[in-house]
Amino acid sequence: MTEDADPSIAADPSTVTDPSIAADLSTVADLLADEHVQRILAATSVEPKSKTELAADCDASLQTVSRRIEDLAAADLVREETRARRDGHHDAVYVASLDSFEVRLRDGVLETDVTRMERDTTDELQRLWSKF
Amino acid sequence: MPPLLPYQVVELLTLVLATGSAVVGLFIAMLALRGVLRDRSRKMLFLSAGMILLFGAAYFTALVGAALVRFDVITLLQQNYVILVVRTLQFTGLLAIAYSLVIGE
Repeated sequence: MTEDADPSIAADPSTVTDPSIAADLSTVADLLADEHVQRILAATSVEPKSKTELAADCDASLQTVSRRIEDLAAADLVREETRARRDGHHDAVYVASLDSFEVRLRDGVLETDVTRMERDTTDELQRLWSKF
Repeated sequence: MPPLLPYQVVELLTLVLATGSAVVGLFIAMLALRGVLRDRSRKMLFLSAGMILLFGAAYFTALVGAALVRFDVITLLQQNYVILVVRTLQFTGLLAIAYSLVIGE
């Protein structure tokens, strides 16, 4: 048995290039390279924004914003929430969930790490309480 | 007329529900406290203070008062002082929660 095939080494996550991590790298890097995506992430990291608001903020068409939001949501970099309007209806708004994206080159292995911000119960309580 | 439920059951149910209220109330207070530590939120500060007064301090005082009466440390008439303290704690707690609703972050 060669050293490369040693299962104890393969089981160590730090020495394995996980295909899902590799997918994350190209997906996230591709998305982040887009100027509209950068603006959308920046805007939605401060406060929840609707597609219409984002189109105005990012100086882009509604169609462009919709497409980018779809891609970002698929990569789990933004999440959809609902915002109540005064007339009783709800708007879909988007919040950035990306916290950081790290790429490291260690011992011949490209490691990537996408950290996402999880919304917890304390955030929900604060959001709910501030609505009153 | 026989009681609807045996008095011991009623007593136990009351204690369980009161403890349940304290636990849930203090859980919400803890969530609000996390908001205070994380974001220095004034709204969460007054909400947590109110919840602690309502469900922690008031509940604990009432429990101690009931125990003191039960073990004949204080009389039923003297228990009125304990009840006054409990009502004051509850009122102050509610004022804190109401204040947390009207102030900004």
